[in-house]
Amino acid sequence: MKKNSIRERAKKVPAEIKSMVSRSMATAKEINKILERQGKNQRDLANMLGKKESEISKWMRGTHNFTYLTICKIENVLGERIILLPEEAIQNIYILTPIKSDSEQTICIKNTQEKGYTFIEKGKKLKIEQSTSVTQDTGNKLQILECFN
Amino acid sequence: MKRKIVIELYEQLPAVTYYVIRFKDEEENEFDKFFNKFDGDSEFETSFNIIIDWLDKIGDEGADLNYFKPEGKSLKALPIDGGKLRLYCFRVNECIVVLGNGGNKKTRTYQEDPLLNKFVSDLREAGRHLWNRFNNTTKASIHNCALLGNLEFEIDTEKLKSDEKK
Repeated sequence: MKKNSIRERAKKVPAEIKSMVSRSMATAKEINKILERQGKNQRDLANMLGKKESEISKWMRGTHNFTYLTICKIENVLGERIILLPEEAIQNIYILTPIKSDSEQTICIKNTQEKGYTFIEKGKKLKIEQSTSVTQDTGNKLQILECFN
Repeated sequence: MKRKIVIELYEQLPAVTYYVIRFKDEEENEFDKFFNKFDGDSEFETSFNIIIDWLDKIGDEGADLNYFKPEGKSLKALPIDGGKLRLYCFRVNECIVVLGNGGNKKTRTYQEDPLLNKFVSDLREAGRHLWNRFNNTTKASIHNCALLGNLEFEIDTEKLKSDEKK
């Protein structure tokens, strides 16, 4: 009988589908993070958008094909951006200079990684483990490949 | 009619161990039935690719509860939404997911489609039995993202019909 493998089959998935799923998952995570930060939940978001909670839950599964209109509606009711285009994001990039081990600096990770760059914004504490990488409070490792001022 | 099912290890990825259900009188497990039916079917090419990529990514990231839709009391049976193609599975915890069968959803709800309804019922029964076994850790338990113990169950298909009405 044919032996299937999820990992092996996933290698044949077209690049655009892989990107779509990655971005859908990242979008769902970002929305959840904003909701958590604002002390809200998916039911609150549903109410703000005049949608059923089940619809919001469907968006959060990481396979939803979000439209720009939906994204903009969510951004408007939450008052925060979910997606930044590179030109918008670059305005929020700050230098991350080599820092002594175990020191802390007030900077912030926007949680967006594109082409090896980590977008950094102000206002969040990060513990610096090495000069080339940082560990977020949540424990997520983020690679710093290039810095801007 | 009573049928024996078994929950078997399918694939271990860094953050999630995938299990499948198989009827003991059949060679092919339920997930492979889905896989072999829809892989290569041009009508469902995009949907199938989305589902496989989602499973692969979850396998690296972990089965975050937010990605799953609760169905029933203890069971998280859900459709993975890739267009009209549905794959049903249930999440045991952050690192264990049991995959079932799925298909083309042509009706408003899966309950209206006898085949999809059966897939969900089979999975739900497997989950219900598994949870009951967890209540007695000498029978089945979870250890380091693995299911241990006796993972064979007997499903009463007549009971399924009465459960669905509840």
